[in-house]
Amino acid sequence: MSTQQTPPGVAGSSLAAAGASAAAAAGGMRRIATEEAWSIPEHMEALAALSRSTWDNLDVATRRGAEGGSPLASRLTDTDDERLAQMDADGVSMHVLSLTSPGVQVFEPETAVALAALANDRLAEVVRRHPTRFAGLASFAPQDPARAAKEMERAIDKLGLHGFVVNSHTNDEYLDDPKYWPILEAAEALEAPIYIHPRSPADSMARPFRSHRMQAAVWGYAIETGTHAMRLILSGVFDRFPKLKIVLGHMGENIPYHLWRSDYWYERRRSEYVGRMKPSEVFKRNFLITTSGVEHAPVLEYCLKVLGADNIMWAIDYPYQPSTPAVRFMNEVAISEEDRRKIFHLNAERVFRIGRASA
Amino acid sequence: MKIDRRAFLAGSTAVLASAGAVTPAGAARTGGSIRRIATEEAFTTPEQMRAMDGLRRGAWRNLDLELWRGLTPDSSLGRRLDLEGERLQTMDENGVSMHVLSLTSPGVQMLDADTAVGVAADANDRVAELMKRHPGRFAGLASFAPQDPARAVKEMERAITRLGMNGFVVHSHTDNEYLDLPKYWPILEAAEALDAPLYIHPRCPSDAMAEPYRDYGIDRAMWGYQAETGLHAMRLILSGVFDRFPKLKIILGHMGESIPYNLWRIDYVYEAFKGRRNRVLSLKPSETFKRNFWITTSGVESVPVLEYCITTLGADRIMWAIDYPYQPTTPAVQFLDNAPISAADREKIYFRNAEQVFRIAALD
Repeated sequence: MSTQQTPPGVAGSSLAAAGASAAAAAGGMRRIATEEAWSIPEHMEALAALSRSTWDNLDVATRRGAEGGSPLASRLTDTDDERLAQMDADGVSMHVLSLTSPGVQVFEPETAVALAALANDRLAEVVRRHPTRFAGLASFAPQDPARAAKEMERAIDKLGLHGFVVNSHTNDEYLDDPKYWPILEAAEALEAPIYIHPRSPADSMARPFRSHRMQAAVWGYAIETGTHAMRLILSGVFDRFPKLKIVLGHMGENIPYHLWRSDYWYERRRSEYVGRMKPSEVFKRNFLITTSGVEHAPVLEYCLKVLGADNIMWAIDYPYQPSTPAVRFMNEVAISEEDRRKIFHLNAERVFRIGRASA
Repeated sequence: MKIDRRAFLAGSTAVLASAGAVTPAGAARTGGSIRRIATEEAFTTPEQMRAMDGLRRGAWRNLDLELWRGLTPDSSLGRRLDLEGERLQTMDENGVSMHVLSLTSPGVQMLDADTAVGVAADANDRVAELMKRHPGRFAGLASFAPQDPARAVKEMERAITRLGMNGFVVHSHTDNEYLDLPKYWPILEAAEALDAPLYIHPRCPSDAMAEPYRDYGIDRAMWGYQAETGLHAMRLILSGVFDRFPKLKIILGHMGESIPYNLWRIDYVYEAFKGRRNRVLSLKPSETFKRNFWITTSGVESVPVLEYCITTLGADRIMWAIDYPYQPTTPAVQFLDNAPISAADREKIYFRNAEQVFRIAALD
């Protein structure tokens, strides 16, 4: 990597603030953050409008009374000002941006289709303006799978975006349902990964999560999103789409921890399943995980052991998690320099087809 | 009995069959070299069978009931769930010193309160009698009916002070409710006062969250059990009941129902939102988990998971379990016999922690 140009922000006093290790700093480590939230005013306004309702959907209800003018809202819609400055300060080379959860999935199909296309256009502009600082995961409206597949093609072929984001369930349904297979087929054909980002548990499983703020990052996100991924694995869709790549945040939404037990019961009940491979085999072939929101060395070491360094990417979860400790975690965690490079940028470059030589 | 076991093994997977074909690693050490106390071992009673049989013909779309629709007393699984049957023989063949017994999931928690109270008391009597008849081979976790917290507390007291049992079992939710609700606090209070642990054993996701779990057999050990049971434990932690009952001891199977994997994130989110969206607790969630919880190895024979849990929780918080008769005994013994951990940690996990938590008499 010595030939690689030093990414913006690596030099300067920010390194000390980020606690960068000498090794990470010396090589001009490229740091690509892969689960970074972003929005456009039209999306924020549509979400706010929806929250002025009596719908008790957990993602909608959470926003009630919290709309407008918050620092979080302005951080989400900003790219060129505070975000880039923060990236420079922490030595973050690139954000892979995705429309913040729940994306367009809480809207009726027409609104969702239009908002997704608008967001993708804006995202492509941001990437064009700062091609070495931003990459983008395209949104689509699962509510209309045929038009979703068209938008996915446009996002990759015309807009040059780098993958897709889906915020778990859509109207209590998951992508294993055959009606959504055109979406999986398009992602595979376009060789672009789908990042399954959390949202709160679906209305159909929401009730026990309504106390103690259980629905969000403290617990509900992992259960909702892990359940989505397990449904995909057990449904056998990866036999049909063997090259489909799925990305899960938060160290894999519990699935890596559970693989032995899932494999055991899969073997035991193999006759009930159509998929040819065990859950762990599918997971290692078709999934990547990211470190978003989990800056815990034992979990990373566990995932390196069970999944291997090729299946793990770094993420901050900006602006929901602070950047500085996320950088410090990956700079300092006691893993090999080769693994650190894979997790910081090599895997992201491969999976999202991000240019290696940053201009 | 032996034929039944062989037939079961033959009918199961290659994993099971091959495990049954080799000489158990544990057998060689049966001569008392290490005490093996298995802490999540299931049984049924004729009364539980009969009561559940009454539900079988109903139209209740409850996920646990789907499992029970295939379970009859004379099925292979039904026979192995018998309190006695081939249980002792399987233990002897594998060098298992003791089963800590609990009435199989969902216990009495799908029955009306009166029926539940009766089935629980009968099960507790039966276990106490078996413990007397085979000293040193069985311990017992008492059942109670959360449907009636006042009578539950009476039964909990009877089970410990009169019957000499070792703790309690609850199978996660009761009628879609969890033990963090104040109406169940008398149960938590009794467990703390009696200094006896409460094992929160899985059942399938409650009706209130069942829909996404109705396909692909995802409702049970494959995934749903940890979703349901981890949720229960997290509700307890975040509700603050451990500030009210700081000495309450909770046990979770299956390497902690995913909670150990999430401790960093749980703490982070708690700290970020406490006082605004989350109740302020005297301890961080991870501190509560390390103070009030123990986990067992049931159903997870993975060395990396065990090593992770020793690193994050410490060997003092981990106990061995087989999950008989749902999981085969031989590989569970082989797993902990051969796991590359220190001899001291192996002793803690095999028996020392169980002796302490369940107040099981140590051997001379």
